[in-house]
Amino acid sequence: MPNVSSTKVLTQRTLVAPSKRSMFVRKIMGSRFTVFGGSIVILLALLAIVGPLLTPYNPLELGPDALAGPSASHWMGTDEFGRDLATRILYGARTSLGIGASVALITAFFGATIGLLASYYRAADNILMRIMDGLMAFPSILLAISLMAALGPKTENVVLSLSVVFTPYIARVVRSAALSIKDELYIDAARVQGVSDLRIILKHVAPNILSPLVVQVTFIFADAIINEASLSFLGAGVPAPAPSWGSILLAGKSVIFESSWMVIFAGGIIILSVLGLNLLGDGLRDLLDPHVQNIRKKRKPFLIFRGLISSRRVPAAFADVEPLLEDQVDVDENPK
Amino acid sequence: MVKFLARRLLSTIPILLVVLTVVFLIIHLTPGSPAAVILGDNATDDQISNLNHQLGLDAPLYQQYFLWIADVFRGNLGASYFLGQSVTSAIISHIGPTFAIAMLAEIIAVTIAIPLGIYAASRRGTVSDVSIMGVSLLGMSIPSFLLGLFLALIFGVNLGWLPVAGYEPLSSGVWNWFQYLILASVALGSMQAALFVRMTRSSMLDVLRKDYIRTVRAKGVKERGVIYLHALRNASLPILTVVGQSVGGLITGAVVTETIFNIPGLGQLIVDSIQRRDLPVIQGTVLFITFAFIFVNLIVDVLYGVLDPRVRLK
Repeated sequence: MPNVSSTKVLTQRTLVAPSKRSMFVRKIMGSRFTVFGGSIVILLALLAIVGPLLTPYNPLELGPDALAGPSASHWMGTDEFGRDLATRILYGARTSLGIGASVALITAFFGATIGLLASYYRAADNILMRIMDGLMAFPSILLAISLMAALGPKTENVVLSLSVVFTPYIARVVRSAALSIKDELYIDAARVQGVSDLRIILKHVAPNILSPLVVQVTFIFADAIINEASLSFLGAGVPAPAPSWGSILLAGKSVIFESSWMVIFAGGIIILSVLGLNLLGDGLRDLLDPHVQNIRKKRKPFLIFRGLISSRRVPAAFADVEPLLEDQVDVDENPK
Repeated sequence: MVKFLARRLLSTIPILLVVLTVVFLIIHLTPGSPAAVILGDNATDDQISNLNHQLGLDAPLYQQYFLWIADVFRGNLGASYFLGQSVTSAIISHIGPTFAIAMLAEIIAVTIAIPLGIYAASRRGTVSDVSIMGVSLLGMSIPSFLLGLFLALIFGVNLGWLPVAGYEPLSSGVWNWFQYLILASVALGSMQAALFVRMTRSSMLDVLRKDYIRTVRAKGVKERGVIYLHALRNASLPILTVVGQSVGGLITGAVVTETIFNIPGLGQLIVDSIQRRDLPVIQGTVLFITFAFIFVNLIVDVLYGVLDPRVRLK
């Protein structure tokens, strides 16, 4: 009696509630853009880790034929010193993605700490957030440039400068997320029971800010890659001869007439990684933000575009205007 | 209204203070004294401490801080180590091209983006709407300095239509001047254009859903009249705000974009000063642009409050 057994199997499947984690994995897999963006990011990360082991060339070793076009021995051609371009882009991935990831982690830690403190202690709020506002008033690339000018061109300094530049963006997101739950009844309940401030922040508030934190950190990762490239391109980032995507672009610019390959390949991989991270960030935001999920069911086609107008893309010197702008941007996603 | 204005102005003060303090600290926490940078590697300790004394750099830090802030508000940003002129005059002599690129970029972005946004909104959900939105997504994903390089590659190197790099002043003829700026302006303007298209579209869609539009349609007004006479006027406020707010961002963006094309604006000044370690120029220029950025946004913000009473009440 095959029918009975299959019915039984079906019932069992529906009765056993899927765990929270497997639900989440299923949700991620169901979102094409998240999977697409995530795959790009994972692929690039793998290239950065494994890639340098696969290439027979040394990224710093000078070769005989400079500025050669792509060929069987040099897949992306060679640069102005005859170094293999593909090798330099692979090693550059280590530098550029490494800087992006370090900045993302450092800003996540300090931004979350500052944001949580500011949401919980009024005095900290007044001091820390005023400083954050001041830092955010700088155009980000200019603040990075002046920090680099003072610190000197070094890879560690790029990480440090970009971390200073981007920490306020995380702090602001974390603070507003934390403020919205700080007045919940269960927080009051915990306090009345005599739970310490630190424990309340870590055990009860912090888990609730994880979703916006993860989303924002993904965007910071992308921004850090762009800014590292801009800094190195301006000659204020990763110093020569170390390969980074920005410094390859800078070298490519000076030989743009002789060989356009350097600009095309280095520029292409920067766009690819930024696009991948932005899609991943958008996708995660859609998955993690319950407000967006409701909208998602109603309208699908323009989902992909929403994340690109996040608050950080609207000039942010005056925070008060922003919610209004955001509402307006979202209006067409949310038909009344 | 007065209350709103006062609140806005007051909220700017702490931001300005933080900006000033950060810029001051960046100069003074730099490893290596400025005198050593100016005098080069061969200077003796005596020469260095003499120059430090002349520059007032041996005074206590807090004294230097207040003197410096007083100077800044008098428009004195110090003197360049290498250019033989004051930072203020260096900024004035380099601001022209940067400002021109930013304004051209703004004009390009507005003239392309707003009609496209209106068109997309009026044909919501059609193929043209989706393609316009798709292109705008692409426009937002490409950093302007990369787009600038690609444009230089296509129009300068491959097609040879426009110069790849360089600059000629307006006095040498409008076309001469324009052909050196156009690629930089397009590169810079396209990211803004992408944002404007999206703003215009969603703002129009919001208005087109309103009851009064239904009434206008019911009266028998043609679709063109509905969109241009009735909807656009009410949709224009948020669009104008985004356009206004973009001015500051465009000036900053011009700083990076112009260096791709070797245009001698503020960006070139900063890049050259980085190579020379000419800190006063870097700090002065960064401070100048940041202040410009803050004040442009303040003005836009206040204007928005004047035009839309809801903002004032918040």
